[in-house]
This record gives sequence, C-alpha cells and structure tokens, in this order.
Amino acid sequence: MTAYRLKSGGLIDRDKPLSFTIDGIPLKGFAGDTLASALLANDKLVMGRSFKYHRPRGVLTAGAAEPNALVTLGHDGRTEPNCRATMVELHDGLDAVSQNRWPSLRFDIGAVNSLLSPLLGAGFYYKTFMWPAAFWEKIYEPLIRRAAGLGRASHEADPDRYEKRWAHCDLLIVGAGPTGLAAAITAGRAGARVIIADEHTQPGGSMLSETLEINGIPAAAFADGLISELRSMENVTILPRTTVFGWYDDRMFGAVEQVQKHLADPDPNKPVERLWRIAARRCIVAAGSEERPLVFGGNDRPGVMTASAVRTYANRFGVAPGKKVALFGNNASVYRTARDLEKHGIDVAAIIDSRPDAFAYDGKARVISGAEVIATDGSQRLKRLTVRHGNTDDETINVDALGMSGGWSPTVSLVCQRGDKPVWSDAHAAFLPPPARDGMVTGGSAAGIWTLSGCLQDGTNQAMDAVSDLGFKPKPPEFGTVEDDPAPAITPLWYVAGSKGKAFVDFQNDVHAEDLGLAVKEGYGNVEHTKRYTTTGMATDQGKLSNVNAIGILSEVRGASPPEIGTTTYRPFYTPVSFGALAGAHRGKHFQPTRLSPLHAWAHKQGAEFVDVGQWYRSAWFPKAGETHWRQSVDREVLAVRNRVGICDVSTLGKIEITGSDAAAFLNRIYCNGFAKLPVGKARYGLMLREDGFVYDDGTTSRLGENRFFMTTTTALAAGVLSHLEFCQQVLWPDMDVRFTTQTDQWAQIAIAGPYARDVLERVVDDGISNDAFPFMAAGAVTLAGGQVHARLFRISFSGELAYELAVPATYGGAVADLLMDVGKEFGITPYGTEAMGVMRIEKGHVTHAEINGTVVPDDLRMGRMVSQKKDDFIGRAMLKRDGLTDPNRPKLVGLMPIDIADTFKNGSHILNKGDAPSMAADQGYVTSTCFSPTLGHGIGLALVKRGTERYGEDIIVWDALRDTQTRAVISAPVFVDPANEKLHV
Amino acid sequence: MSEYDLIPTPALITAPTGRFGKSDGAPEISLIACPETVLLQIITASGRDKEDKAVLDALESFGSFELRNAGPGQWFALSDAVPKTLDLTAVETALASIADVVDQSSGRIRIAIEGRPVRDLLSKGIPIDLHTNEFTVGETATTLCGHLNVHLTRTATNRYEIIVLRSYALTLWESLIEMGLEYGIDSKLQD
Repeated sequence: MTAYRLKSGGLIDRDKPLSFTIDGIPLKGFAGDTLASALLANDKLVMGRSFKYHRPRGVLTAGAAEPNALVTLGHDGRTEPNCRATMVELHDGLDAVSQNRWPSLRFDIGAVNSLLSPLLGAGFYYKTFMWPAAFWEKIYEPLIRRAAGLGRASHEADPDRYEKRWAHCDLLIVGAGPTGLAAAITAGRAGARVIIADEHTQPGGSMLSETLEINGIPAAAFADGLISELRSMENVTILPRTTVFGWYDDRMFGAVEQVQKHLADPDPNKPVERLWRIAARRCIVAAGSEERPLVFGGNDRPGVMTASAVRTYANRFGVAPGKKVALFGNNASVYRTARDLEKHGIDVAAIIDSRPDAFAYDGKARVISGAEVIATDGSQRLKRLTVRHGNTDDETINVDALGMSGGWSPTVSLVCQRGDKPVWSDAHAAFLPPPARDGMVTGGSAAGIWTLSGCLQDGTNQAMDAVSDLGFKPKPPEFGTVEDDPAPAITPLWYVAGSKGKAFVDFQNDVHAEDLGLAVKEGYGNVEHTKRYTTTGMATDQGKLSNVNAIGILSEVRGASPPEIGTTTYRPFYTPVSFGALAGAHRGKHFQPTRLSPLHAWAHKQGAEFVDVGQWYRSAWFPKAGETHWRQSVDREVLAVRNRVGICDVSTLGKIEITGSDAAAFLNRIYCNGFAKLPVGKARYGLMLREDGFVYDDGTTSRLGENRFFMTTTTALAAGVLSHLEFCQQVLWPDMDVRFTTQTDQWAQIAIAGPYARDVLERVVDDGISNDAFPFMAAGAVTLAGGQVHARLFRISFSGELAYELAVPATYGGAVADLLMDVGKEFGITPYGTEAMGVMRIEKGHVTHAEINGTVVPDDLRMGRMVSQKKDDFIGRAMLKRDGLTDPNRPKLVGLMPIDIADTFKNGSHILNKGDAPSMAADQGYVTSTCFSPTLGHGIGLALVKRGTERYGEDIIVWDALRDTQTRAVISAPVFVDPANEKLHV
Repeated sequence: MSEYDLIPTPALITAPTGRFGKSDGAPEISLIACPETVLLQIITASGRDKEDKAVLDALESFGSFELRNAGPGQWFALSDAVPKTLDLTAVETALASIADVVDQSSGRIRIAIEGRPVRDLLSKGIPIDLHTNEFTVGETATTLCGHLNVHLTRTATNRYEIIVLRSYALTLWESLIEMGLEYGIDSKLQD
C-alpha cells in the first residue's frame, strides 16, 4: 500500500459510500470522488497504458488536461471510450474498463513495444512503411491501426437522448473558480443576465483544492457561499459539468453540458448531454491555468503527478498519493503542496528545487536547492528517485509519490480560437492571452494572475468593466481579508539534462524529448511541423500539458526564444465533444424534417408506396392485389392514363404567387421566353436561365390577373427559385414593384390526365370546361361541387394526354381527391405515382432535372426557339452568346430506342459511334433518362448526343462501362408519343 | 347543390395526442393545435412597410383581424371570427392601394404551446432571445425551430403560437413533444 484515503478531510461525503468496478474488480469510493481519486484511494496507481509503448501510466493531473488516465465507461450502445478518470464523477455501480492493454492493465503484451522503443522514434512509420506501395492500404494501415489507438467506439446505437439549445446572456463567464465567481457575483448583483459555466462537477475551481482562507472562512466554504447566492439570483444561470469548447462568430460560444452522464440510471425523458449555443454580449474567460510537468528521465512512472494534483487529491478528495512523497519543481508550487501534505500528516521526504537559491520553507521537509531529478525507478509504481546535485554525487531517495511543477500555463485556447496568438512572457515563463477584443476578455490565472486575492480582484474588475459597458451600475463586492500563497517566481526548466531513461514531453502520444531533437535534425523544426512529425500536442488532450514544454525544448534545440518558436493553432474543440451532443435530437426519426403532401393520407389510403424526394414523401406507385413487382403497377398506371384517366398528386411542385404592378415585366426578365404579353387566364411553359446562360429550372406560370401570376417550379428547386426571384428583385432590380409569396403549402394540386379527364372533371367543376371554354393552356379560378370549394384549374399536361391540374386549398385536398375517385369510377380512374409520371414524360420527351443538369442551354433541349430575340434583356441573355454555348457540336436532346426491342440500357451509359472501340475518347454523349414504355412495349431513353438533332435514324452503340455491356440503338426524335400534340387539344 | 359534401381535413388530424414524457405530477406543458381559420398573408409595396394601421382599417369591414408582423411590410392577418367563405377578391380590392393579399388559410398551421417552462422548451429549437424583457407579449418573429422555418408570436406570458408551413406541421408537432418530454407534455387537437 502506498496511496490511501486520509482519515479525515476533503469535500467528499464519507457517509455516502459508493461501489464501483475497474476491469471487473469491485472497489469503494465516496460521493464527491472522481474515478481517479477513488482509484488512488484504493491504491490503484496504474490507470492506463500509453499509446505507443504501452507503458504503465498513472494519473498525472486532477483535471481536464489529463492525458494518461483514460478509461472506457458504459456498455453496448452506451460505451464511451477515452473518458478522463479525473473528470468522471463517481456513482454507485460505475463500471470502468481500462484501455490499450491486453490481456490486462497489469500485464500487457503490447509493452514489448517499450523494448523496441529505440526503433520506434518520431517518423518511424513514415520511414519504415514506404514500400511496397501495394502494402499501404491492405497491410500497413490496418496493422498500425490495430496496434495503436486509444479506446474503441461501440458499433451499437446509443440508446440515450441528446439535445441542443440556445441561450442568451449579457455576460458569459467561462470557469467558476475565484475569478469567475467574483465576476459572476459582481455582474449578478448588478442585475445583468449571467451564465457561468464550469467543466467540473462542482463550481469553485482552485478554491476547492486550497487550504487558504477568505475572511476567516476556508476558501471552499467561501466559494459555497458565493454559489448559494448566485443560485438565488433569477438572472444568473450556473452550469456545472459544462465545458465551453468553442468561440465562433461574434460572441457565439459552443458548450457541452453533461446532464446525466454521472447518473447510474439516467431519466429517459432528459438528455444525457446538452449542447449549448450561447450568444453573449460580453465574455470573461476565467478558465484558470494548467500546471506543467517537468521533463526528466522516468517522469511517467505511476506515482508521479503534478504538484497541484497532489494538493487537490489531498485537500479536496482526502487522498494521500503516497506515504512518502517528494516534490520537484522550479517554482513555489511545490512548497504549497509540501505545506498542505504536512498538514495532513503525510511525510514529505524532500523538496527538490531546480533553482539555486533556497526558498524559505518553514515546514519539516528537507529542501534541496539547485538540484534535479534525473531518473525514477520502480516497476508499475514509483519506488525511488535519483537526484543530481550541483557538484556532489547523485543521491537516491526512496519515495512512493512525486509531485512536480514546471510552472503554469494559462488556459488560452478559447481566446485564441479566432486566430489571435498568445503572447510570451519571460516573467511568467508562459504564453499569456492576447489582448481583449470584441467584448472578450481573460481574467485571473488564465491571464497570469497567480494569487487568490489577485484572482478575486481581477474577476471583480473585469465584470465591473463588462457590465458597466452594457449600461449596468455594478458595485465591487467586499470579500474581506484574503490569504495568499506566494507567487510562483519561476525559473524555466524545459528539460533535465543528463536524464536517464525516457523523459516524456507529451504523455498521451509517448513523445519524449529526444523525439523533438530528432524532428529538428530532420528538418521539422517549425512548431507546426514538429507537431505533425512527432504527434506532440495531438489526440484527446491536444497538448494541454505538453505544448509549452515542447516549445521550450524546441527553443533550446534551435537556439531561438519561445516567442520565436511560437505556438501551434488553437481550434475548437477545447476538449472532446461526443457526436451524440453534436447531433442532438436530430437522429433517427428526427434526423431531418419530413414533409407531407396534403394528399399523403389519401395516397396512403390508396395503398401508395412512397419515395423520399428531398424532405417530401411522394407516392411512387399504387400496387394492386396480385402485383408483385413495381413495374407491373407502373405499366398498369401508364396504360390507364393513356387509355382512360388517372389522377396524380403534384402538390409538391413549388408554387409561388407573384404580385405587383411590375410582375409581368419582372417575369419577362426572369424567363428566357416572353411573359409580358401572356393574357390573363393563360398558362405558359417558362424556361429560366442562370446568369451563365445554362438552364436553371422550368415550369408553367399562369396569369391570374393583370398583376398576379402563379408560378410553378420543380419540386427540387422550389426554395432555390424563390431565393433567386428575391435576389433578382432585391439586388438587381430594387425599383421593380413586385412581391413573392410561397404558395406551395396552400394548395393541394392534383393532375387529372387521360382521354376521360374532362369527363371526370365536369362532374366536379361547376364552371364550363369544354375545349372551347377552357382550351389547352387555359388557367383560372373555378368552384367545385356547387360552390363548396374555390379552386384553380390549369389545362396543362406533363403526360402528353388531355390533362388538367386542379389546385384546391390544401385542407380540401383529401376530400376532392376522394370525390374525383368516386366520380371517375365509371371511367376507370386510376391513381398514378411519380414512377408512372416519369415514364409518361420520357415517352413525351419532356425534360426534368435529369436533363436540366446544369450543363445544358435551351438549344441543347430543342428549345432554342423559345429564347426571345425581341426582349431587351433577361437573365442569361448575354452569356448565352458565348462561343462554347453556340457550338454546333454541343450535345443535343434525342430519343433512343434499342434496335432489338428486348434490349434495355441504363441511365448514365455513354453513346459511341458504331464500330468505335469503347473509350471516353470516342464518347458521343450520354443517356439521361430511360424507362420501359408500356405504350410502345419496349425500352426507350433520352440522351444528350453531339449534334444529336442531325442524327435521327443513326445506328449507335450504348456503352455501359460499369456493367461492361454494349447495346445497339437508334437515335430518334425525343418524342415517342403523340409528336403532333393532337391529344393536348381535344 | 352537389350531392357531395367536401369536408376539410385538419393538417394535424393524425398527430399524436395525449400525455408524453415525465409522468409524475401534472404535465407542465400543453401543446395545442389551433383551429384552421382565416389566415391571410399581406405584403405592402416597397416603402409602405409601416402601414399596419391602414391595413387593419381596410380589413375592418370584413370582421375582426389580428395582424402579426412577418417582416418589413409583411403581416399575417388572422381571424377566428371571419368565416372561411370570406370573399378574397373583395379583400384584394379593399387593400389594393396598400398591399397585396395572398390566402394562406390552408398553407399555414398554427400551433400553441404553453406552460411555466415554455421558454426553456422553445430555446431547444428557437435561436432568438425569448427573455421576458426581450420578446414581450404580442411580439412576433420569423425564425427557425430546429431545421424548420417558423413564425413565432408570444401571445401571453407563458404561451406562444407558432405558424408553420402545413407540410411541416406534423414534424414540428412531434419535435415539440420531443423537446417537452422532460417537463411532461399534454398535447391535444383542441384547446
């Protein structure tokens, strides 16, 4: 036994014992413990195996920067790897599993890597796994991935709930230590809306780990008092277990709250994690600072940890990290720790101070000045140290724990995430935050203020400034007398020369001092290169403890100062954030919104099979009893429309109402064909180009009044077209009097198509709709069923048959569709879906976005004559004249028919001249749409073929390179049914 | 007269109703599908964006309307009292000199949500600041709820109404239930 639970003290609740396991071994802890403190209390020093060499590792810190003590928590879908034991709140039944070891934490076969370590230096993989190239993907990468790595993610679905939310405040305070709490009290009492977030279970920060007093009260109790007061304020939100991980545009911050991760039985009605998006008018980063390890031989042996961690375990958790403890440092932190340990009755064997001038320590411990630890010894746990004094022989000291302090690094990540660089300070031997900007300031030890009184004062001052600036009238709080520790008074020590054994810089990635030297030698001395070459500063801890030491060592190796070396780039996330939190509630059924047509229930009742079209569900076909393949249903539906009558839900098409005295003139500029003279009561097919001359979208637009038009767009581009119209009006032609409203959801729109379409409609529409009264391309208002419903009727046809589209207020969609089915019975009315609609439009040679694919101009689609030559201007006019767009060799829309009608071909196949060997060099074009035409009894297709309109009747090859097939086909006009459009006009 | 009665189908007729989430104590949130009554979208010509009084005056002869601002010079005009047989052409004529009118009575669905923690619930989807001092009773905003475009109105201290496109009404309804599980939520199709 070395580490053990102290008989008294700490902020744990000794009346609430908790049971937990590590690797199946049952252990006990107390409420208030972290997993790390409970493991230490049970003398379980080895908490993980290192990434590369599989060295046994113990806990190095007591906080968020922990690189070593990573465990996997939970089971099955709740499995969560790489949890920092220092941040895991102990709960009854907690079951942790150690990582990166086999078969056990104590005996790990992978530790053989440690023996091979001379071969495994920085760049080993780059140099070794170079040839043969064929091995890269199939052998080397899988091998390396298996050998390395931290925990493994589960492949099972996570059963828990996650959510995101927004929050707004006057002042966001990041960190609830002395600085943050002082700031919160100041701003909160002034009435400002405050959010104060802290990544730990309990707010208080360093005050929870100190033995100092404020106004005669222990710091932890004083913090408790401040927190109670803050909790009573309606304008203050305290977010414990919440990490502010990112600073985004303006003062938008991302934070993740562990809502129920610490509970054995999470409430299924609440999320386990919540992602906060916080909009703050001002922000104070009071994120504290991290104590740096020292880089000396054997500094990773279990039992070696930072001096402040030793202090925290003793003071906050009532755990002695060892029976005989040594401390090694280059600043005053080790003396604070020695004092506290001695108060707890723990034997401090020695304080080894690398600074030559002894600090006036009044405790019992022996102080060895001007000395350094050069080696440690012990299997799986620290047993002794080798200390090198100036000129005397090396000394061996038997200890079972060592607290080290290489100085303090302010936590500047958040304030540097938007590109500002931290500023080096020789006095602090640390990078300090950049100057405040955009209402974002840094306070307390995150700004290089090391004393408790200094932090309380700084938090107060920062909050006074921040909220005064917002118009509040804050008053500074009175904290009374504040005890202080001495400032660190640091003398930098980046690396202990003469170290024996590996001196680790980055514990998580097993990067040691020699690796950094090697990187410089091999030309990777730039700090960003060194990071990539050695991996220092990577992985889950992102170099929180190692980066500054690495910069210090690089500066010595390169003979440059730390500011000349500079830092790597700070980016979100500050600590790892789960995918669950980032996804929030948007998973499973809620992954994306679903959009239902007003005829969805009607189609469902008719037995529709649905297909996802963006967010819409559209009815694809309507199988009948006995039909076992979708083609049977689709063929039947097509023939029903061609020979009788069918109805189809086209409600998902975009619908935009365009009003205003310039509506006609506006549309004339939007479409390439003329709209200014479209008579009231008429619809027209319109082709909309992009500025670059390529076709953007198509659809019909009807003139319902002098200044009122009703535009339809394709389903896919409904939102895009509306944005396009708004852009044109607001940016290009702001003086035009025109307005747009989306009407997509107002109308249920039903296509009624087939020779009997009119017969069916006449039984529903009150108005006369004979061919004379309501001819092809007529459009207007009608009433239905004796004036019960006001509707709009359009005589337009996508199928090529006599057809209408009837728009009724969406709430009546189902009733009207039922009515049409009822009155259409005698004509054999058949509901048809998007598949049959697709077949019929190919038969008729109508294009969709299969053809309008961003590469075609009107002439490519045989619509060149639609492009107005009379209009002064329209979107796309100028660019349409480019040489490339008028090249006669451009692909043109054609029809394709297999020569052997038993043959078929697929979309995307390429066209070859007969006799040409298959190759893209011989490419003549490609197939855009194909289908089986039940009307013709064989497959047909549409294609874009070079000079296609001149090649009708030509025998070509359809080459499908993916399936390695060639099919003979003949080029034809792209209209297979009723080329004279006779059916449209009956 | 036709032998057929065309009966309207409310957008949320298939929406899940009843109590969801936290089961101890009374549910803290009520979710209510508002009646699908007259809802007009009114848009003024450029430069006439402050004429809500003129719009209300012009509508007065058709019955009592409530205007909810939906952007510069845009409003939703709602009325539970005006019959759905309202003559839109007459409304267009009455407003012709001020604004254009487009019927959205079927295209937009109103959902009410109320209860003590309602602001907390809405903040899970709505990015604007809903603090009592920032978004007061009667205020409106065109905003987002999750991935959906919505129009929000604070109708009472702890009650809001959301106007959403009809096709998204069910998905919004289900999302609101999901957001409300932790408080206990009672959803119903009538107030």
